Parts: sequence; C-alpha cells; structure tokens
Amino acid sequence: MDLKTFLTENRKAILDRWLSQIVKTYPADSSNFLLNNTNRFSNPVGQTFLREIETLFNGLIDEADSEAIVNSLEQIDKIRAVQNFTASQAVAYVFFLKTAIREELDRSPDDENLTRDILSLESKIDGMALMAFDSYMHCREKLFEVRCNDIKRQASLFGGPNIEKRKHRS
Amino acid sequence: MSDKLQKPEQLVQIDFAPSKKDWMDPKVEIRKGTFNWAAIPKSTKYLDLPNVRKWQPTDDDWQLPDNWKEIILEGFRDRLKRFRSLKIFMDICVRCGACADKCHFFIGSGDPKNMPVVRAELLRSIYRNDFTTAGKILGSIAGGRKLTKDVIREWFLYFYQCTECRRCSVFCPYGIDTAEITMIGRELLNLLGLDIDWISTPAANCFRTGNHLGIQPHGFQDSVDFAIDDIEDNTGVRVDAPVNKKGAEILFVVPSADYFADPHYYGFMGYLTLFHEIGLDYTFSSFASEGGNFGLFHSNEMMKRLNVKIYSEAKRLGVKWIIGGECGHMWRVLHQYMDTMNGPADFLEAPVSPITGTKFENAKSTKMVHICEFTADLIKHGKIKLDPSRNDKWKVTYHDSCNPARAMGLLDEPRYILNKTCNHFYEMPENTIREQTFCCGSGSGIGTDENMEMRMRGGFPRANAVQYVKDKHGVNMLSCVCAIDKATLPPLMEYWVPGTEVCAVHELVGNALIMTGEKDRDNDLRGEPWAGEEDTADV
Repeated sequence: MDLKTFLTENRKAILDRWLSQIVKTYPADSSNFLLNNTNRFSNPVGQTFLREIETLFNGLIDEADSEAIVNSLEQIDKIRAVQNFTASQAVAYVFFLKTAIREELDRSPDDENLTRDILSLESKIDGMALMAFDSYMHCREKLFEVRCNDIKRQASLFGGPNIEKRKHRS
Repeated sequence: MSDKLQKPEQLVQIDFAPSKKDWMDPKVEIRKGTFNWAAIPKSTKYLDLPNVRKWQPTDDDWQLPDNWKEIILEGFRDRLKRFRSLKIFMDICVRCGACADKCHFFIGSGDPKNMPVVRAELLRSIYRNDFTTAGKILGSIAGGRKLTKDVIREWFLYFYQCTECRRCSVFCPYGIDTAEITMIGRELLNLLGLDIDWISTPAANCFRTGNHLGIQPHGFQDSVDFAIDDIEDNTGVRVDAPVNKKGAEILFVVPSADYFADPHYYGFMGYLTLFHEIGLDYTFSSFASEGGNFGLFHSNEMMKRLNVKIYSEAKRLGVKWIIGGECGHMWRVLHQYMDTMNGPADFLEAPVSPITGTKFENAKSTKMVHICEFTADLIKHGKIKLDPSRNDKWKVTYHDSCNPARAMGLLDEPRYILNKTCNHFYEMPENTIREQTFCCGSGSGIGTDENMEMRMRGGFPRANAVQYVKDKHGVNMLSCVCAIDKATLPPLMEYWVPGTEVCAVHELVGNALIMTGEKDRDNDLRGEPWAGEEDTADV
C-alpha cells in the first residue's frame, strides 16, 4: 500500500486523533465542549479546528496550493494567537498530525513502503509547521496593529472624526 | 500569548495538556493583554472611593488595607441583607450546566472559569464557607473556599472578564442573573480600592461635567455646532439643535461618544437631520450630556449618583418627556433601575409622539422612549420620506446590542427601520441574534486597548457570525445601537473580519432621509459618494 492510499483510507481516524490532541491543549472541562458541540456558531473554536484541519489534511495528500494551506493555518492561528498559549504551544497543533498518523500506522501491519514514505510526509508537515509559525506571527502583529489603531481612534475622540475640517473652520 | 518563554529543557519535555487544576484553586496568572489598568488616584479620590493609592494588577503587593478580609466579609454580609436577589442567587443554583457553554468568553477562551456557573462559584464558595452552617462545618466538602489574597486576585481577573451581557441568564432555568453576581463581585473589590481606570475615570468625569469625556458645556455646544455645519455641508439644510432650551417638549439624551467619536458621530448627524425634518420641539442638556452610565459597572451607589442628572435636568428644563439615543447599558439603567432608583418622575407626562399621536405605553412609568421606537413609529405612519437606494453600497447586518435586546426587549424596531432604510439587510444566524445575541466582548468597562487579547477572545463568537453573513451575502456593514459597540466592534472586525465597517442605525436613517429643501446630495453622511458613484467621484 502506498502512503496516499493509507492516508485516504484512514482519513477519519487520523483526523479524529488530530482533533482530539488539539482540544486536549485546553482544560478538560473545555475540551469536551470543543469536541462535542457541533454547532458552528455555538462552538466556533472547535468547529473551526474541525473544518480547517480537514482542509490541511486534504491539502497534504493532494498537494494543494500553498495559499489554501496558509488560509487554513491562519484560521486556526488567529484563534490560538489570542488564547493563553506560548508561541510554541500555539503552533504545536501541526506536529500533532505526525503523532496522529504514527498512532494509526501502529495499528496497521508493517509495510516498508509506508515507513519510507512517511519520512517524506513528515518533512512536509515540518514545512507546514514553519508556515504556521509565520501565520501565527502575522496574527500577533495584526493584534498589535489593531491595538495601535484603537489607541489612535481613542485619541481622535478629542478631535472628532472630522478634525481636519474642524481645524479648517476654526 | 503567554509572557513566559519556555526554556530549551522544558521544550524537550513536550506535554501540551494543561495542568489538571481544579477550579477551586484560586491561583491565577495576571498576563499582559488580559486585564485592565488600575484606576488612577486622581479619579478614585474625586469619587471618594476607599484605599486611594497608585498600584497596578502586575504588582506583587496590591497594598490592600490591613483589615481587607473583614471589609470583604462585612461588605458581603451587608449586601446579602440588602439585596434579596443576591441571597437567592447564592443559594439557588443546582449546577445544571445550562449556562456553562453560553458565555462568549468561555467559548472564545476555553477557560472553565469563564463558565458562568463557575464565575458565580468564585463568589458562592466564599458565601458557603463563611455564611452557611454546612460550609462553616464542612468547608471544601460543602463547596466552600477560604478567603485569601489569591481569591481576591482571582476575583479581580474574572469579574473583569465578564461583560455583564446576561446571555447566560437567558438559558438559566432559575433566572440567575450572572451580571448581578459580577456587579456584586466588583462592588466588593471596590471596597478594597481595586477599581479599574476605564470605569473610574469616565465615572469621575461624568460626576464632574455630566459626561465620560469630561466635556464642559461650551465644548458640548461646540460639538453640536460642528455637527450642524457638517449637516449643512452635506445636505444644504441648516438644522436647529437646541441646547438647554427651557420649555421644550422633549429632552434628548445621547451617549457622549455620539457627538465626538467615529462612527458614532454619523448617527448623531442622523438624529439631527431627522428631528429637523419632522420639526420636533426638543432640547439637549449640556449637563445630562451622557446617557451612558459607567457607574453601573462600578456599584449600585455610583450608578445612582450618575443617573440622577437625567431626571433633574428634565425637571430644570421643564420638558414633558425624554427620548434616549443609541446606547447600550444606558438602557439597562433606564429600563430596569432608574424608575425606582431616582424616580418616580411624576413631574413628567407619559410620552406621546407629537408627530403621530402614538402613546408609548411601555414608557409610561420611566417617561423615556428609545430613539428606535420613536423613529420606527414615524416610518410606520409614513411621516418621513426615505430613499433606501442611497444605502445601496452597504450590505447590512444588525448586531443586537446586549442591553437593548436583553434588558429592554428592543428587538424588532431597529430591524423595521433597517428594512425601510436599506435594500440589502441580512440577519446573522438565529442563535447569535435577538435574545441570544453574542456580546461585542468589550462591554461593562473593559473595552480598553491593554485588554485587547481578551477582547478578541470574547468577541470571536460575534465575529464568527458576521463572517458567515459576509461569506454568504457579501455583508460589509455591521449596524448596531450601542456606543460601546460602535467603539469596540471596529477593532474586532479589523482582526477577525477585515473589510466590515460599523455604523449606527440612525446613520442609515440620515442617509436615506429625503429632507425638505435639500440640495442635490452626492455624498452620504460620511462625506463619501453614494453607491455606484465611487468611480466617477473624482472625474
């Protein structure tokens, strides 16, 4: 069996493992909610993870263009960049895919082809992790940009929205 | 993001699961981005608050009074006696969990202490330990916790991580109002001098000049005059907007941001154009120049102190009744507390629209009508001409601001107005609007820049619903009727849903309103071209 077939056939099991590991980075009382509430508006965090890791997984198998992958990474990073995580904890979710695949492989009969191909797949996942770090940094920079703009907006409270026009009139 | 970088040897021991701490452990990490700066002494001194000093939540020593424990327990005892609701809320919860996953801060952060039931338990555990027989004997077995300085730090962090939006209360089978629990938690903290600046300084300003920004009467008059000039530039019509006019029929009270901040100001222009067009006999007051009441976020007494100016100015100016502008928590104070707190306003008359003759029976007691109720009634009776195509460049959705929606039931009037003033109005999903609306994540005095990370977490459920209608319908305008929303939704959109603007409902009214004698208007109230004219604007 080649790796692509293995991943395709075991897609659901691997994605379940991956998601389960991501939600375990939250306290136990919360991880149940993140995993089990399936409404995308009541549980936007859990449902975003569910949706985007599937896109990432498909992208990895089908070698999708990097734009789609970056977009999915950003959806997840945007959330984790404003939660209680260090940078390494925030982007670690990409590496959890390696564990999820390895655990699923352990349940399958030994296959030399798979073992060889898995190394190349893991390099791709490493690349994805680097992209996730870029995306995470982008989100953090955006957060501070938003904060700066908010301060500017507050400062304009003392001049009003049409400050230039007001200066001109006075 | 956490401030603490991990050491290399810690990185090697990879375990990303958080420690299995029970919620009863009060130790918390006070991290930048997730709390508000402490009140400055100048403001707390002005308001005669206790334990005036310079301090910050990041300090190791918060300089609490020596008898801090006694102060808290005595304050708690006093409030249990005075507020029957508090006593009931402390005793009645059966921990059914209906509220647990309804808080926007829990949904966005995944922090269990943001489950409303747990937030209440932070207070309830002390109640059990010190005020119930079972707790006094059994301690933690009966769900009690000892009052320690760590508990005080925990309270400070989590009672300022609640926006008092009351979404959780909608789902509680017993009707426990977590906002009131947070209010009491904050009152107790304030007894120790643990105030935050974004509440104390606006409250001090309000106490001094009548509004949060500390604008004096001549500054208020200037702002109104600027708006009159801007409206004339835009429409060719010079409107009248009286200030302190004795004997006017109606007093009009707005949040102060309406006449200074962006995008509130365009809604303010909308009010003025509307009132001019219908020839309303009204007046502003340069002293009741703030509808918002940051006292609500501080204490019962502070709320009363700041609210009193509305009725007293109505009396001084001799008006018959009052209209209130687009503000959020102002309406909780007006609708749920003002009448018994500073009323009865028996010197006023039950509100009747002078244009349509409609009696506002719902406001018979408070004598105060929401601007959306007033405008919807005008439209319903065909008293104003509207051209909704002027708002065609906006694909509009509506954010139910928590307090007008949940505290006064203002659900349909803004929607009626939007449907008459816009051709493209789209609702967000059912479980994110009306009574179930998600908070902006920055209400109740915590909408500061230093708290931005927390605000982005709390606002995520709202932003997620906006993203949905943006993807589905191309929504590019988020309308609302709350001054805090108008200040805090723009950064929320900037982070989560770029390309989405925020506006007042009455900005859209002002755009669509066809005024008698208006010039050939080529711009909206923002001074930007109407839909379809953007490309030719510079030709």
